[in-house]
Parts: sequence; C-alpha cells; structure tokens
Amino acid sequence: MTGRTIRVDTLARVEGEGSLYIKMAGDRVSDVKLKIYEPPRFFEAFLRGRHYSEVPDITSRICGICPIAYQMSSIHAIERALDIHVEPSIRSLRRLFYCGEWIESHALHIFMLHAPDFLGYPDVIKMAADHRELVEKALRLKKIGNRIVSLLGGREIHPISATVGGFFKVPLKSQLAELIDDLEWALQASLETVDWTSKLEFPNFEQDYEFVALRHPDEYPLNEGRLVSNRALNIDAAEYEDHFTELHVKHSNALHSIVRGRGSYLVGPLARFNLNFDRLPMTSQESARAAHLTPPVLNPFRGIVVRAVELVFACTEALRIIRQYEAPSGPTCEIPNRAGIGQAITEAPRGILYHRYAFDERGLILTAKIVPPTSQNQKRIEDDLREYASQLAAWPQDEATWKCEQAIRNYDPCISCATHSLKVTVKRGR
Amino acid sequence: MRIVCCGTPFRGDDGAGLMVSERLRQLGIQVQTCTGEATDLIEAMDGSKEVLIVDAAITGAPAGTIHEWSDCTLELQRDSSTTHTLGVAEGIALARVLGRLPEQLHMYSIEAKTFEVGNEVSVEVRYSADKLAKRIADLVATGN
Repeated sequence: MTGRTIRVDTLARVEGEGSLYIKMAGDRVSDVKLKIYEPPRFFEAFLRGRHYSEVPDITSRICGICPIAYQMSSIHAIERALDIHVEPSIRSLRRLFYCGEWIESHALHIFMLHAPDFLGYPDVIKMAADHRELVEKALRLKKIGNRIVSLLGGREIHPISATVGGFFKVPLKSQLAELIDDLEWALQASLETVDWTSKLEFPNFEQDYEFVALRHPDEYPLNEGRLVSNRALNIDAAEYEDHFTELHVKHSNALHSIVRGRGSYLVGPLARFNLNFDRLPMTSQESARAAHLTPPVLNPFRGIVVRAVELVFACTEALRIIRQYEAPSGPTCEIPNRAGIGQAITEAPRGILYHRYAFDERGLILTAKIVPPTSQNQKRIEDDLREYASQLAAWPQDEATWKCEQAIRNYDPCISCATHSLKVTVKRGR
Repeated sequence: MRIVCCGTPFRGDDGAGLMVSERLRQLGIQVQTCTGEATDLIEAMDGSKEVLIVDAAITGAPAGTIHEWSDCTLELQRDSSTTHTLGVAEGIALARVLGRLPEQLHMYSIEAKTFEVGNEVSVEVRYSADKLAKRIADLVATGN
C-alpha cells in the first residue's frame, strides 16, 4: 500500500508558529499532529503576585491581534469577583471596543491570510499584483477597526485605557461621531465581501461538530452570555471547568481542550453564527441569506463567508452604539477592596476566551487560568485533518499539503502573537 | 524622514525596536511605533517620502549585531524569522506591489537572541539599541 507523509515544518499565514504532520497509508490517516507553541501558560505564572488592576494591561500583551479580547475577559472576570456592575454606556463602549477588534482581525484574515488559498496564490503579495482592490479594501477596513481601538484604547497596539470598572478615559460623543462616515463605508464594503466570499469555490467537506459559543438573551455575543452548544450545553462561565478540561499531548506545547465525556469542539465564527443567527441584526441576517448561508453551516471552509457576515455585524453594531451613545456619569466606578474569585468568557474574533482569577484581600493574584480559543480548537483542527486528508489521497503531494494548510487556516489559529517564518518543507514518503 | 520602530514588549528581543524608540524619544526625536505587522507597517509609512524602519531580526549573526538593509535586500530576507504574522519584509513587499512604498526606505535591525515570551530584552540587544539610537540621532542631526 502506498504511504504518504504530509509535513509542514512551519505553517504560513497563521498567527504564530506551528507545524503539521500527517501520516497516511493509502487513504487511511494513521496519525495527525498539529504542533503549536502557546505563550499564555507563561502569563498565568507571570500574573501571580500582581495586583488585579494590572491584569488587563498584562494580558493584553499576550496577543498583538486580539488584545481587546484578553482585556475584556480579564476585566469581566475580576468584576465578577468583586461584584461590580458597570453602567449601560460603559457596557456599550466595551462592545464598540470589541467591534473594532473584530473588524481588524476579520479583515486581516479574510483578505490577507485566507483569500490567497481560495484564489490560488501562495501569499497576499502575489495576490495583490492581480487583486489590488481586495488588498486595498482590507487595508482600509483594518484601518477603520484600528481607529475604533485606538480611540477607546488610547493607542492601537496593546491598548491601555480599559480598566476594571470602566475606562481611564471615555470618548466624547463628537469623537465617536467622526467614525460614522468610515463605518458606513466599512458596512458597504463588508456587504460586498459577503457576496464576494460566497462565490468562492468550497471543498465538499462537512463534519458533525459540537459548536460552542456564548449566547445572550437579545444580542449577538461579544462580552456576555451563557455558554451554549448544539449538544445541550447551557452553563455560566463559573461552571466552565466542570464541563471542559485540558489534556496534555506529547507533540504540542499547547493543551488540548475537550468537552468532558465527549471530545473535541469548535469555537469561533461558525459556532457563533450557528448558535446565534437569530441574534444577528437584520442587515447581517439578510446578507447571509442572500449568500445562501443559513445555519447550520457545517463546512469549515465556508467560515470565510461567516467571517464576512460578522464583519457586517461589527460595522452595524458599531454604528448603532455610536449613534445612541450618551457619555457615562464617570469613566470608572468605585472598586471595593476584598478577596475574590471570578470567571468570565468573552468572544475573541477566533472564539471563546476563558479567564479565571483568584486574588487575596490585598487584591494580589493567587491563581490565574487562561484558555484561549486556539487551544480549544486545536483538537478539532486535528479531527478535521484526519477526515479531510483521507479525501486528498489521490491528490499530488504539494496540492494535498496546501489543502491541509488551508483547512488549518479555516480556524484562523492565533497560535500566539509569536514567531512566524515562511519556511515550509514538504516530504513525501512511501 | 519618518522613523518607524517595530516590535512587541514581553517577547524578549522583539522589544529591540521599541527600546530604540524610547531612547530616540529621550533624545527629543519624534518616532512612530507599530508591531511590525505588514498592514500596520504600510499604514505607518503612508504619506512619507522617506522612512527609516527599526526592528529585530534573526539571521544567524551574533546577538546584538546591527544590520543595515536596503529595500532590495529585504525582499530576499522573507525567510528570516520575525514575530509578526505578515512581518516587516512582507509589509515592504506588499507596499511595493501596491505602489505605496516611500521613495526612500532605510532599515536597521538588531540581531535578536531570543523571542521567548515574558523575557526582557537581552543585554546584547539592549547595548546595541543604545548604540543604534545614537547613530540614528546623528543621522537626523546631520540630515543624512
């Protein structure tokens, strides 16, 4: 029987460093290893002994692509420990802040990282020569996301303004209003993106996933909600560790998350969309329907269309918040001084991000736990590859390798804000 | 000339560019900072005819070595490790394709020892950051 080994020593167009190894005998996959390096573990130890007020600024440095997610999950967890409830306008500003990050992250992934796969280019630089308008659109969308993030966060990279109880400084209504023209353009560009992505060619590949995402009574989820799945999961963030566990696997520095008693699960745009379609604003729902995209979407390659629908959502929601904004009575609220333990989950662009903190009466962190979306998706990615690689048995080696890489990029894995190089090695075995 | 210093804190020597930016600001020189991610870099360069980029790099040279690159040699260095998804070299290549490259582009990089998360900038890179900041300050002062 002919054997094959698909090996990619350094994955390209993913956030951070990872490698892939697939061993096949004929069309049977005998081994799949997605090896990733995951820094948040170091941060958990690094946080011990720090005051809880420092946590949002420290955790925002875990990732250069989604610092808001880390700030939001940490702030919500600490506020739950201290039983702090912020006023509605602060809550809205946090949603707006998150919309900015979703716009940045989704625009980057759709156009710069994933589109080259669908259009047959090795990278965005080669793609830009023939599809300049797509790259220019991505740059402008990302810049608009950056403007939101830098206005609310004080700066674009590793924002510093969000804090426990609110923000160090909140924007004026007039400052937010300056974003409206850009966001209206972004909304139109996002609608065009849904249409464009829906016409791409998708492999015929569907899986029976357990989708896991937040669900809020009346909003598409960003900062709040119960954690639900299509397998009857419905829990509070405080119960997360009762239902999910992390396993150490020899081949990866990252832990594999599983649902206890069931196994791998999928977090991110596909899960949010499938579990919260009815919570999307009408503009987003209509754009999805026009693109023949209705839940359940079971083909992970169509995640690029779902991301575009979420771009429409983020622009629509940002415009709504800005138009309805009334400045809060103060940027922050009073913070009680006491010991506590708190857990929170928010929706990072790539999926749920769980944080838990315990601190003493001086506010010093005793323990911290951070479970990022990519470690939650890692086992699911391997499961996808196990199925998908077997479909590619007859394909030439280089094309099969590329397709497997594309399958990984469906998840927009944020392995870290970490080392990245473009060196790729493919070995063929018999 | 616009100076763009790239890097991220808490990742060891990837903070080299940011360290140079701090030194330059102490010397009263205006500097822009960005992570070095390609789209951020294109944005940071936008609208300037002459840009000087400062970043960390790994090429195999001794840690702390200061490299001077031209935009042509950068095109060849895309296999070098950087800590950015689409990094500085990709940002320059993309800007070139899009016709958004400044007329004059200079780049200094400091050879990194480690990009280990949570680590401080190494002694070798710290020393070179001081040296490079002074060199850039001289360039700015003489207008060369």
